[in-house]
Amino acid sequence: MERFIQLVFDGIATGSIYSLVALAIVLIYRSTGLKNLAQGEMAMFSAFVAWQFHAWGLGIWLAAVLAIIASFIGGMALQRVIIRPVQDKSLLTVVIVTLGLFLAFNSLAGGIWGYIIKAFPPLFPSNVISMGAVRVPVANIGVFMVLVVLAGGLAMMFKFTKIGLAMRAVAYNMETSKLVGIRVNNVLMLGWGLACALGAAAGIFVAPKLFLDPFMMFGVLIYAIAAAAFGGLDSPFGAVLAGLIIGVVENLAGSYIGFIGSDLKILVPLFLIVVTLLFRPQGLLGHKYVVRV
Amino acid sequence: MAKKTLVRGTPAHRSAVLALSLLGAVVVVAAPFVFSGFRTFQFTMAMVWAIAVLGLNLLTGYSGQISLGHSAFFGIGAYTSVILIVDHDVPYLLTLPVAALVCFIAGFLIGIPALRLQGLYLALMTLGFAIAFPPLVRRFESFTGGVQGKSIRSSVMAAPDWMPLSNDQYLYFLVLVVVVVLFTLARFLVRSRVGRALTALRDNEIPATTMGIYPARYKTLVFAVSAMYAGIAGVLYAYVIRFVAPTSFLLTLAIILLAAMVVGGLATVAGAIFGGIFIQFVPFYAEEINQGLSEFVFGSIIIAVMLLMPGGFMEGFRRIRNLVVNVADPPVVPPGAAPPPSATAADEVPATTTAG
Repeated sequence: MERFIQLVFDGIATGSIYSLVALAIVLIYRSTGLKNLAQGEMAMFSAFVAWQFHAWGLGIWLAAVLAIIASFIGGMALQRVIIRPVQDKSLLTVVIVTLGLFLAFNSLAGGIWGYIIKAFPPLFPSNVISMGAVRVPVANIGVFMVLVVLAGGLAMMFKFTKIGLAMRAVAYNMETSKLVGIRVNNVLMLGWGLACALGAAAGIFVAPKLFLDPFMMFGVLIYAIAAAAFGGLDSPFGAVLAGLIIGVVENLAGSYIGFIGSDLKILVPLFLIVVTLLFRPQGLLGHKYVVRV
Repeated sequence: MAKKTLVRGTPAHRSAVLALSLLGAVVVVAAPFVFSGFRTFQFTMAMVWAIAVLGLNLLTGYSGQISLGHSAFFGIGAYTSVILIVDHDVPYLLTLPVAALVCFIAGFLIGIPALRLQGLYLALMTLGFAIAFPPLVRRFESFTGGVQGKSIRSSVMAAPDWMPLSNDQYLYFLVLVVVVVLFTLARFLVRSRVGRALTALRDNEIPATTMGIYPARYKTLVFAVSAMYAGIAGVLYAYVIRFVAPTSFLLTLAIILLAAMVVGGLATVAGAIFGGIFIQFVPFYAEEINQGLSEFVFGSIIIAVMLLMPGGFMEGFRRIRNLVVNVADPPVVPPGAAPPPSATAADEVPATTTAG
C-alpha cells in the first residue's frame, strides 16, 4: 500500500510536468486555434537560456524570470515573423512550419550549448518530507504549486478578462472577431508570447528533474500532447487533470504491469490518446463544436 | 517576344512532354555511369526517399490526412525485409512483396481509427505511432536485434555476375525500376475513379458522401496504399544501407518525410522526386555549412520554402516553365455541343497572350 501511495505521489510529480507543457499547448490552441508542435523544443530552449543566465552569475530565480520574459518577447517575435505570413494558409502549411521550428530549435540548442547533459540548478530546496514510508521531495510539491497557480491564472484570464475573451473569440472565428473590432494580429501575437512564457516556465521547472540537454523534451512532448488531447484541447483544467492522470497511470502501469516495464511506458499515453480520440474526440473536458456544412 | 501557349492533350503538347521525358530518361540512365560510386549511392537514396514521400503525398496531398507515422511504416518495411533475409535466408527480392503486404495490412489497421479523426487529431495519433515504434523494436530484442540492430552481409546484395555493373550501379537500377513502377501506379491511381473520390473527400467530405462516395472505404484504402509505399521504400533502404537499428526510424524521419512532401509540392506525383532529392542532399550540404547546425539549416529551409513558395518546388517549376511557355487546359466542351472547329484542325493554338 505504501508503495502504491509512493507511486501515486511520484506520478503526480511527473504528471505536473506533462501538465505544464500541455497547458502551453492548450494556451496556443485556445488563443490562436493552432497547435504548436515545436512547443517542447521551445521550452527546452528557454531552459537553456535560463541556464546561461545562471552561468553568467545571476541567481537562479532571477535567471528564470529573465528567461521567461525573453521567451515572451521571443514568442511574439516568432509569431510576427514566421507564423503570421502562413496563418491564413492551410493547416498543413502551419503544421510544417512548426515542425521546421521543431528541428531548428533542437539543432540550435545543440549547436550553441552542445549535447552533453547539464545539471540544472534546483529552484526549490532539496529536502524531502516523509509521511510514514512515503517520501515526497519539496521540489515536487513546488512544481505542483506552480502548476496550480499557472493553470488557475490561465483559466481566470480566459474567463474573466477582456483579453481572454478576445483570445477565445479569435480562436473561434477570426473574421468575425475582426468585424467586432478585435485587433486580431495583436491578440495572436500575445497568445504566442504567453504560450512561450508558459512553456519557458515548464522547461525551467522540468530541467532540474530531467537534466538539461537538447532532447530533454522529446519524451515530455508526447505526454503533453496526449494530456492536451485527453483533457480537451481547449480546456486548461482538462489538460492539467489529464496530465496528472497520465503521470499516475504511467507510473503505476510501469511498476505493476510487468510487460510494460520502464521502456514501454510511452505506450500508456498513446493508448490513452487513441481511446480518447475514438470515444470522446473533444477530450474529457473539451467542448464539442458543431460544424455547419 | 510572343510566348507560345500549349494546350494539354494536343500533339504539340504531347510531343514536348515526350521529348522532355526522353531527355530525362537518358539523363537518369546515364547518371550512374558518369558520376562516382558515392554520388550514385546518393541518387539511389534520393529515389528511396522519393518513394516514401510519394506514399505520404497520396495520403496527405490527395486525401488530406496528415500522418506523422510514416517513419514507423518505413521501419516496418525495412525490418521485415532484413529479418527475412538474415534469419530466414529468403532471397532478398522476395522480401519486397512480403514487406509491402505487411505494411499494407499495418496501414489498413492504423487507418481504421483514422477514419474518425481529422487534421491535427490524426496527426497526433500517428505521431504516437511513430514515437512508439523504436521502443517496441528495442523491446522485442530476440526478433529485431534490439538496440544493436541487424545488418545484411554485403555479399547478399552484390550485383549478379552476369551484369556488367558495380554494386552501386546495380542497386541504383534496381531502385530505379521500383521507382518507375510505383510512380506510374500512383499516377494511374490519382487519375482514376479512386483518386477523384479521394480528392472530393478531401475538399469537402459531406457533399462527396452525398454523391455516393463511401469515405471509410477510400480512406482506409489510401492509408494502406500509402503505408505500403513507405514500407517498400523501407525495404529498398535496407537493400542500400544493409543495416537497420531502432534509431534509424525516429519521429524525426516522419517529420522530414512530411516536410519533404510539402517542399516538393502537395498533391503532385512528380513533386515527390524533388522531395527525395531534398531529403538526401539538403542535410548533406547543410552539414558543410555548419556541422552542428545542419538540422537548423534544414528547419530554416523548410520554413523559408513555406513562406516564399507555399506550393513547393513544383510551384517553382511551373513558374519557370511559364517564363518559357504557357500550358493551358483544353476548353471545356459542354456535353452535346459540337466541338469547336479549331480543336480538331489546329494542333497548336495561336498565341493569345504576350510576355509582359
